[in-house]
Amino acid sequence: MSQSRNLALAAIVVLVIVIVAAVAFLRGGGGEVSEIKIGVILPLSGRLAETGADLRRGIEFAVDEINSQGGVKACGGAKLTVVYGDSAGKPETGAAEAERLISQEGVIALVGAYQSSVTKTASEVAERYQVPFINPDSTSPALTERGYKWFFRVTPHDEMFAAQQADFIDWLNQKYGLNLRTFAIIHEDTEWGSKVAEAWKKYFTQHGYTLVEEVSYHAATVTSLDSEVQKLKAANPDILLAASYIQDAILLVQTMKAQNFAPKVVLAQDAGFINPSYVSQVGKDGWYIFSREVFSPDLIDKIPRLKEVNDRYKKKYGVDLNGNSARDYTGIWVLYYALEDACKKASPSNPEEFRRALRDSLVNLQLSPDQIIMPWKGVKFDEKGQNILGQGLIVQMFEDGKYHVVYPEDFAVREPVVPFPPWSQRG
Amino acid sequence: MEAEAVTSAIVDGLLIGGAYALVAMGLAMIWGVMEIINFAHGDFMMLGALAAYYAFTLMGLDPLAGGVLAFVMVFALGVGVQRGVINRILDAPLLTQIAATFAVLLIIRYGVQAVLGPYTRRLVTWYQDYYVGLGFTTVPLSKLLIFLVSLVILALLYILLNRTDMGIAIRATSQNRMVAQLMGINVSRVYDVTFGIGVGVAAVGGALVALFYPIFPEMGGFFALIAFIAVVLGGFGNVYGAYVGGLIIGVTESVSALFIEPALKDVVAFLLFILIIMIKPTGLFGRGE
Repeated sequence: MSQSRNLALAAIVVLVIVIVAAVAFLRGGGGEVSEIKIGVILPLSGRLAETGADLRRGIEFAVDEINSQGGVKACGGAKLTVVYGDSAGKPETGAAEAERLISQEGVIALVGAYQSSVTKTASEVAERYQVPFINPDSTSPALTERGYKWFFRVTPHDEMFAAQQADFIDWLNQKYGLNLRTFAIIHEDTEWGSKVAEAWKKYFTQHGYTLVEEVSYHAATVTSLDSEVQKLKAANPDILLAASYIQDAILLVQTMKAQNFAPKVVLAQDAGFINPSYVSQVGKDGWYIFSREVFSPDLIDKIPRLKEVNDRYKKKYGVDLNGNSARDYTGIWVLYYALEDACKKASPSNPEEFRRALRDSLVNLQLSPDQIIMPWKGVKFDEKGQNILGQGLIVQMFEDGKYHVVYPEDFAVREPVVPFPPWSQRG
Repeated sequence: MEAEAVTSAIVDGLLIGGAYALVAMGLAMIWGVMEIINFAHGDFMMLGALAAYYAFTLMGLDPLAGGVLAFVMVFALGVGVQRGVINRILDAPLLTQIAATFAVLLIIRYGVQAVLGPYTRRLVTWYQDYYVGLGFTTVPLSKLLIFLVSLVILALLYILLNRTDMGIAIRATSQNRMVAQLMGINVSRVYDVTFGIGVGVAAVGGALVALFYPIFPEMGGFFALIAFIAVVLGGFGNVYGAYVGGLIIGVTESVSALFIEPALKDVVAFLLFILIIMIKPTGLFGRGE
């Protein structure tokens, strides 16, 4: 009786082992670990749900590509498995999801979380648990000023964009002899606009330009920008820098036209100026205004690897890659390259040891431009965890009502129209 | 140069003040006659702007004509809201009234957002960039139009209130609802007309503001805030006072932006408001209780 029971038990144990091994073999190609679990925190519900869905497609697509080409080879072909956490766009929910993904799901690394405020709290949790946190898409400079050891930001941040904009003006001066010397700033007065203005003042002054006027306005109550534009016009700057949301951007352009204010260069900081509503409504008044961007459909013809990836992406989802999906896609690939390296030093079966190895691999990671689809010089993290090889793009709106890349030269598809033509000399 | 800048700032302020006044007059009328604080006022204005936008893009109707259409549509909607909601809360506690009109605000604003999307629209007329010289300064035609229309509406309201039977009924009701009812005035009809005209005038304001301001679901909020201040400034419920209140805010904003700092224009306008209220708590043209 007891002997047959033991026998049955042994048979069951053997059966279980065989099944597990078979599953492991089928899924992982026979390695000792069949999957590597990563946690992804995104705003999948709430006001940013539409953006969240876009970001998720980028993640999903990268994971599918990596798994279908044989997973993480140094870990015996282990597949990447993603466990999603929904921040709903809220910092406190993002932190709670990070906690859950780490302590209950036991993920090896975290990726996320789009909004700077959510990234901030979620990465705090990761730092405490000593889990690598890859941030593909948040641009608040403060995130990499915290002295964190487990935080890695792949995208450039707002200060780097400001520095690049000053480089762009230098380039215009050299190449087109515009003799631009003075600049003025108009910005909305919440934290974003004020921080952008600070960064502009810092880098433009460093580059030898003189600030002649700065005006701010409250975007939530602005009904007219007449006096603001009058002040700017009176200061007569060569360059106008603008940080605005959608409606105030339209109002600004309209008022500049009304008052016939046409500085030689008008350069905007993304946000309202690249919003589809702005682009469709501003019409020809928006022509020849420059803006900072992170991505452009023009790049598809400029970066061979991007074209190839975008073709497959479009076939699967029916839409082109955009700045959001492309950046999160890139984030997963960065993680993949680091995993390949970490697997040589440690095994995911020991999560703590493996996370330390992964961190070291991220610290030493160096990717070349042809390994990524973004218009960057590659990926390399400094001691603060910031990718120092990233950069933005400068785009200009042309007569087709679309923005096209004019800088940096490697990615430019058009020559910029400078100086900004007087309002009376347009079609 | 300086004197020229000041006159042009005053003119700019008067013109935008005309837009504020249009929104404020209707609000003052509703408060004066019905003692209802209409939180949804700015959103009726937004509906007027949208009506003008669609009349323009679909039928090619100029916003001046679109304003008439906007008035008719929003008047009808206003009568509906008055009968369906406002009429039932006339004697309700203040908090109930606030909550009810706030509910109307949310329904209109987010209803529009749900149906038409959260997008920003822009109305571009052929005279978009047309300027008129006034001798001492040059002003955009679109802003001059809104100011002229605000004067016309002011005159029409004056005629309505003083020269028509309905106007007399409205004034009687505003003085004493009970007595008016006893004298055979159909008070609920007076309320229909008052609320309809009140929000209809705001809709005309919206239609004309669309000439120079982007149209989006939340646009009414900014103008309603200013309208509230204008109403208090002008003496609660006084239509003409609200008109002057709107102009004062417009001029204060543009002149303080010139002399002090554009970023402080709201602060200065609200400081002036508090100052006036401290000196004369019933507003500039208030009757006093």
